Amino acid sequence: MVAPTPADDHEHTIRCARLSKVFKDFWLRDRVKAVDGIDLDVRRGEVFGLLGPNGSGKSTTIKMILGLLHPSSGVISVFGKNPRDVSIKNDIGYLPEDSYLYRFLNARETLDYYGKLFHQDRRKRQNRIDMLLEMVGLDKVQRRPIGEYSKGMQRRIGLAQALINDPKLLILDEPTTGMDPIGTRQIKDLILHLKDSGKTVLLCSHLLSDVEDVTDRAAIMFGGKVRRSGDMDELLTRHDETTLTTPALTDAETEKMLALLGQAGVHDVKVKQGRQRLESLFLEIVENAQRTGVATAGAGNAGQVAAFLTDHTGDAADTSPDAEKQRAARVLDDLIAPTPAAMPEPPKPAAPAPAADDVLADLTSPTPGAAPASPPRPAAPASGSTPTPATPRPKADQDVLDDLMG
Amino acid sequence: MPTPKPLVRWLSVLAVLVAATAGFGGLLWAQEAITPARAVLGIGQVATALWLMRGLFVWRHVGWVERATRLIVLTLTLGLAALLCEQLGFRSAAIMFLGMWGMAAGFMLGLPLLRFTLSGPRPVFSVARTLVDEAIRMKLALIFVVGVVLLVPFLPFTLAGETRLQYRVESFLTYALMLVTVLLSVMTILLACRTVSSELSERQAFLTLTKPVGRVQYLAGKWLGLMGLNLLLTAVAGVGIYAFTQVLVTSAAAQVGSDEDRFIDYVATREQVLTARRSAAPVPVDESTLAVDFERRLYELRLKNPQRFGDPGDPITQVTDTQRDLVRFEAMREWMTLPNRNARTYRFTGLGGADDAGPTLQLRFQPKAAGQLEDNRVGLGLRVNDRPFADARTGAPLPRVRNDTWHVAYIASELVRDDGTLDITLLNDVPGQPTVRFEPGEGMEIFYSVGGFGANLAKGMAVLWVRLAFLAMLGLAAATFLSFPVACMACLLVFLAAVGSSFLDKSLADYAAVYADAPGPWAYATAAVTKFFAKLGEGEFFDAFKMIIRLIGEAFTLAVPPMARYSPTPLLADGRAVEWSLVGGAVLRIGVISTGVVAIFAAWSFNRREIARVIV
Repeated sequence: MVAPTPADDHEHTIRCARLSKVFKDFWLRDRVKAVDGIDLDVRRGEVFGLLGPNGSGKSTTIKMILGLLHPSSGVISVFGKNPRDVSIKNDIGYLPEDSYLYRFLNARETLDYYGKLFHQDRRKRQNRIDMLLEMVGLDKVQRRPIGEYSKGMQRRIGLAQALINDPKLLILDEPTTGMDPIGTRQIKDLILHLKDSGKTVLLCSHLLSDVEDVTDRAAIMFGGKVRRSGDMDELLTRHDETTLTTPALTDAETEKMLALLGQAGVHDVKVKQGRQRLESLFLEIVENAQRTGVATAGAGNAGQVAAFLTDHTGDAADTSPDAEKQRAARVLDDLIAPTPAAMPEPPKPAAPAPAADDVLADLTSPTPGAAPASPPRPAAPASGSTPTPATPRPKADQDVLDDLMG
Repeated sequence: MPTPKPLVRWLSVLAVLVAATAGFGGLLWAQEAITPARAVLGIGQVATALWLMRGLFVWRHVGWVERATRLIVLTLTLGLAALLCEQLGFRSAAIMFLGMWGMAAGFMLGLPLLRFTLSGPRPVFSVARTLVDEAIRMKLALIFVVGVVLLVPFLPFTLAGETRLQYRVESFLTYALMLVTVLLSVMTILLACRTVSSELSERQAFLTLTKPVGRVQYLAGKWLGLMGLNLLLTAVAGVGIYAFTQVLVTSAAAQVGSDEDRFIDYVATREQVLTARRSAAPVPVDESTLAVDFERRLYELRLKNPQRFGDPGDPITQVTDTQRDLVRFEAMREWMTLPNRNARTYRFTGLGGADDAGPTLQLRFQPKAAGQLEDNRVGLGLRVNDRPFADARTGAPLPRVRNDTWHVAYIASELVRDDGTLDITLLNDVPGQPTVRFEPGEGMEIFYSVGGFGANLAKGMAVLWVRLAFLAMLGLAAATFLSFPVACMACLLVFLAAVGSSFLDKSLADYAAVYADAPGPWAYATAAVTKFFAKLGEGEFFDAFKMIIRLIGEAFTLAVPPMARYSPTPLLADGRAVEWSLVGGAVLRIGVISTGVVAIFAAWSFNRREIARVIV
């Protein structure tokens, strides 16, 4: 096994080289080659997507990274160490593909159990449990046994246990399975928040639309092999076409544009009415219903991201309950400021250099006062910038604010 | 989570209601205003009860309120049942329900204490506490707990009132201890196998073992949780058994017989069962007597059948250990047989501490006449240190005693010599009386008290707990590589072999005999292999097969701990002391060595195992 160099340790959280896994039958005969000689690197601070259809070897790879399976051949290092090393588990959070929680424990007891496994003292643990339960919207049902939860609620508490130790590496195996669109959106927002805090996220999924919004780099597996990998932009950019987004055009304006493009030698132009994403519509409807006070029997609204997960500046080393409450209060101060009811405008794509042709320049310059017909896929945020959250945050519950402010 | 203020308000109102009811009612009662006092007490109790029930319902989600509710419901249910039985004249049933309440309440109160003890922030404690929660909330352990709590109080009242109290107490102790041993052993095996195998198959282990918890810590936590639960149950069962022996003893003795007979029965129970006695077996005054007789018998045996046992002049290689034991037993038996018009002196040694133990020693004996007796009674002369016997309590000589029945004669402990010896001379001097014999071993013994029943029972329960430690580790080890049903079967097999190890050893020795040229395991192994191939060569395949079975069986019994050797049940039922050497031996042999070996195997097996293993 070739040990990674110290430089590699700082740059890479996970390194896999020529990794294979062969499952044997009862008679120890080789039967299924689940992973076949893959090379995988997950860099520090990025969101890495491990994609593939069912049976492609994604979960097996993740289990080898976590030390739950022994590789048949190849090398794995996590934080520069063997995956079986207990010390690295302090910095890892894992959300498995299914709920593997104790059915007889309630939500609070579950988080308390996992918190103790990290040697957390009682005050710190209780404080984090309170914040996590509120974050995942299970604070009102925390005394109910996990066995009585719906699948989505179990996924939420699963996510909470994965975050109890404020991990540096978060491994999410099919995190949005069983979640409603609100929960899915919240998971994606959380991933982006965590990335901004410098955490590394390894995201394994076959729900490509969920992955596309949040990952920086991805590897696509099939048949136990990595078929393609790289930056999302590199993987998805089509070099054979250009997309223009304009405000709503009349038929005449559309015809004029097509004519101009035709004169420029651009043919086979497709024109489509702008469409918002189904997710955006869904969230908008739910938000409106919540604003009018319609009751629901399921999990409550998720709260803001727990402060200990995202604030690592200045007094981040101070994990005392008072300091954490103050940070939570600052986050809430942001929340109770007026927020737009609709989806916020995504960052507009940079305007291309003005063309020599005045018509094209007219077409591409923004029309004052017009809002975009549909929000495009959020551009990959520049390093160091904070991406605009994709969901509108409802006004914070005053009771929650009162509790946190003491 | 801070206690909500309304809960404190409810508690305060409850306290005020109780205080006001008791205060006003008591004041009026003291003023001899009986009717108003009764009215105040009645109204106050109803109001308190209603307020209590309201609060228990509203705050049922708060942990301690839920536990208090359960305790109150239990108390009301069993209390009312006991009261009803008492009113209807079924006093035994009333005591039984009270006993059930006591054991159940003890368990319910002990459980939060156990959880609190396991509430440290270390992973081992966390895993242990979760196991306790799993055992109770998933109902697996609860079934056995209910079994212990229901059956132990029920047992005393299944024993007929016509038999002697001493026998009833002995029977209760035997059955109760056997019941507790079996129930807790099976529960431990099932829990231990289930907790690991289910967490592996249902994958809860994924979430635990991807945290900073070593696999050995995980197993240690499981074992600690099992031992904590067993400690609680053993303590509750022990207290229950102790309480019900006292209930039995203080209740009416046998329904037959005179007051004097019943008093004697009561005293005998106290002194011979509910105590801790040490015993001494007789030895010949001349120590070579038995050895000479043994050699003589062996010689005669070989003379009669030289083909089977070898020629008398040759070295003794064809006599097995079992046959030697039989010859020795026969020699002993003859020495403890008294023909008519014969006397024999039996020396008891090691009685140096008897002086401090009490004023009297008990000579327990069971005479068995070899022929018919007119009144089924045996007349024996008894001398102590060559002086005529006089009962230390009554001063009377030894009366004619019933044949084939246990009897106790009290001897003054001051008669023990300084070197700790005491000579008992028995005379079969009644004309025409047939030969009287005493069984070697327990046919004649001297007992002296070295402690009380409570401490003795506690030591016995401690030995039981140590045995459960081995079973817990065995179950965990089996579950690391076997599925739940297979692990349970394997553990039950080992358990049965462990408790029946002495019987198994003897059976295997009789099943396929092996004659070694010299003592020792190497000579034995050589002889066994030689015989195996000899049998194969002679075409006696079944005999050769029996050799293999014996070797496998002996290897198995060698590996399992000899639990039969560390069984407190027969000792406690017979009023014998559970010696510290027995407790220490159990801790060392079973608790440290056997459990330690199994623990090492479990750690190795679990460390090698792939947690997310898939068999395709």
